[in-house]
Amino acid sequence: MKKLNLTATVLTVAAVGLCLVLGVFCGINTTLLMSRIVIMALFALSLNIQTGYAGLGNLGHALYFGLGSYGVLIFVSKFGQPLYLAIPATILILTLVSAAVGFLMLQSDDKMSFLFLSFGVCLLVYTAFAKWAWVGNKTGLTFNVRPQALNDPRNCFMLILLVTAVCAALMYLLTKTPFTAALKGSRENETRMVFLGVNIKRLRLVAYVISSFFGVIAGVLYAIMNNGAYITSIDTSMALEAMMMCLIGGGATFLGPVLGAVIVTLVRNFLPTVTNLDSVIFGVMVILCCYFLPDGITAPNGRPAALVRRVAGRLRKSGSDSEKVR
Amino acid sequence: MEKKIAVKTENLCKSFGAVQAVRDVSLTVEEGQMQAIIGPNGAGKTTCMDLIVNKTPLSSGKVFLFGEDITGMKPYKIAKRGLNKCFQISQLFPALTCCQNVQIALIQKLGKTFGLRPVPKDYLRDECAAELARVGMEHLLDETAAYLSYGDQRRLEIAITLALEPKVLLLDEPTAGVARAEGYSIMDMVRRLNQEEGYTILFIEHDMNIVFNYSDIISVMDHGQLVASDTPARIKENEFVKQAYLGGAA
Amino acid sequence: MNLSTYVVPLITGVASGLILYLSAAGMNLMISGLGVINFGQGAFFVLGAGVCLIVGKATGSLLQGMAAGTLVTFFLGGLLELSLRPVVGKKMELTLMITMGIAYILDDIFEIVWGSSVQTLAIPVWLRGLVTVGSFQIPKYYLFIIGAALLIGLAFWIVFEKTRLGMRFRAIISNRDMVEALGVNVHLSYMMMFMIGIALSGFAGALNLPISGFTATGAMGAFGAIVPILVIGGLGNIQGTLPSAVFIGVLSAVAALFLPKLYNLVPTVVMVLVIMIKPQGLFTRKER
Repeated sequence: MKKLNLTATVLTVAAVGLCLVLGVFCGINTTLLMSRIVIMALFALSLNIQTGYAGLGNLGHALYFGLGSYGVLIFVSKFGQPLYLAIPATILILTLVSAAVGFLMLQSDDKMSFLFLSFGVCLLVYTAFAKWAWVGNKTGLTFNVRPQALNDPRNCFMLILLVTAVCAALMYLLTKTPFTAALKGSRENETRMVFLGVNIKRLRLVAYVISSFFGVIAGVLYAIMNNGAYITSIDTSMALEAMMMCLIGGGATFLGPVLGAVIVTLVRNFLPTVTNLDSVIFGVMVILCCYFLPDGITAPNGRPAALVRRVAGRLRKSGSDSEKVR
Repeated sequence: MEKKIAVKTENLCKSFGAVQAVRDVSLTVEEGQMQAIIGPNGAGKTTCMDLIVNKTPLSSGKVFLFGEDITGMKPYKIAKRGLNKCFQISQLFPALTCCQNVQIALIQKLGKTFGLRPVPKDYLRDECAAELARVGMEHLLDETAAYLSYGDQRRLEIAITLALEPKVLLLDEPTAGVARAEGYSIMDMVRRLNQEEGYTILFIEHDMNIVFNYSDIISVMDHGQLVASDTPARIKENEFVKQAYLGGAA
Repeated sequence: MNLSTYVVPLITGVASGLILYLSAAGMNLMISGLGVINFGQGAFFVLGAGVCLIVGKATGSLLQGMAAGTLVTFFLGGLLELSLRPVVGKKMELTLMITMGIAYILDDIFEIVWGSSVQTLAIPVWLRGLVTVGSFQIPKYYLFIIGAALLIGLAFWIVFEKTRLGMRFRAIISNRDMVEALGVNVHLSYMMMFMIGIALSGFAGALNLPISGFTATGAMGAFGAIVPILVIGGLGNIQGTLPSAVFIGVLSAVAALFLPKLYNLVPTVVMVLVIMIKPQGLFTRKER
């Protein structure tokens, strides 16, 4: 058991190190791409609390991501507040809003309704913002919110990486709590949880609020990175991509969504430059993933995991063989 | 010595459209009693139990738990008050291990369901093992629930419910689909809980041997109505019951 | 307040509501019968309009275009059902992903085949103009829409309630597992449900073509428009679709008179209110 933890730790440290190298030393385009990937990773991880652990499909998570960006921009550009006030204010207000919204959406006790409603609410806000001149209609808001020090994309990237790492660590700790065990229970068998005496609505609401909290943070980082808030951040296709990240990567492991975020962001970023059919290819990719990797790439019972185990087994065998020779 | 009444129903009725599944059932279960509900298929036994825990909303009537009116109360609140049911179809957490299954129940009992402080991986492991030992399953601690045998799944269901330390335990056909010997083993365990630890038990059963050997009181249901409720000896002599259910020979 | 100012918006409201009713009913059929939320319903709506556009322009007949749109979506519905079979019974998100993946694919195809500009088909001569009802002038085409939608709705109801096929549908809706256990070939029924569900949306799209035109990127909007109808009518509640759709249609039309810029937010706001008051939907009569 201990050995496995060592491998995971080593891999994680290596991954973070790789991120750092790519983000800081490989030219500005890579830096910007890496910044985006890391933010998406945070976004996907936050969504996974609902999708993976609570088993609640959510197609409106982009709402908090987008509003996080807009919040910062509004506070700074419209209310003239300094960034260090705008950020906590945005986070606080939106977290409270998520409590209200989540409460409403969870009233029906039905996962399908929740999915639908999350989509509906997200669409509502998107449509409202698209027609609202004060928030820039479809163009969004642009304003210099970044402090001087972060104008260098590499510094910005390091901040993004740091914040994401801290949030990821917090979310990881969350998975070790009794709360998450109960959440998983509600995912596995709702009836049983109810008849154990658990208030499922409240359980899910707490998961929803925590998830939204981290989603807002991702949005805030995005605003800082771009000096702007854009309506595409509230777009339902952004929400769909987030779900895809969790599903493609696999909701069962903690880092599954991160992997999914990397893949989806890279695909969505590079594909349009190569072909006009990028949506078709993306759609086909999603469908194939659903057929062959229904639990995601990192699923413990899936084919990729089995492959990794086989390779690891062979490596271990060859290692012990060489020992025998000696 | 005045025995407290654990569960009492008053004129419980349930209609599904034109079909009256439960008609005017007034049942009483004393504290510390082990009562069986018997009756032919379709008599409304499971429906009646579901009405008591409000898994199915009742059409009319009242339900009392230790004197408190719990009619129409949300199911999770009833369960929290110590009235817990084991279902006819085991409600387990299939992808989780037996230990994790019981762990969730223990977490709920300890009030830590909303606990946000991280705990180590073997949190409550010993306690889970103890709970599983009660039903004779401690060797299956790390077995995935979905891969258990049918009988073991029934036991796990009971273990999960027992972990909550219920005040009243409802069992819906605990030995159904299980081999005879195993069925007796399960009922021995239940009887022990009743006699040694004072659990109030209400259970639905079809096996007459079990019913007559393991209950203090037998309630007979037929066509949604409570036909008789008495000690096993008197039920055996009851003409009504003999006609309707036992077919004349007990 | 002049009453006549309300009549025409009311009629157009009912008409547009009924168009959405068809798409929503198809959706509810798939939800209640197969447990599938088809996020591509909007894409098939657009596809129906697109096929109608092409065929209508080629043959010069709107009706032929509508028939073509309905047929194409009908058969594609069968393909969709086949593509969903591998994931039936697994988690709900998978069917969602697949239907959305298909919507993505269709989105690109729309842009490539039809181009990004809004195109429309002229209303045939015999449906143009106004009809005088009492003292009101009502556009003929809207009456046609109401008539066609109600006719299809009636046909749907007849099939559903009075035919063997419909009986099988109802059985599947109430207890899918039981029907399968009885050995009935449910797969054919599933496929029929899907094909009908999708075809309804395609037909609705074709019907809508002369009014709103064909927009290659309109799929999400078409889907978003039926979400309030589905929630207010009750997800999966087929009987509630019609009143819910008419309600929303009329509401939007009336709202357009008072809030010309924000009227299309009204359905979603009402949806949120409904969730707060009666989460199962306003028009559900089922016992919980």
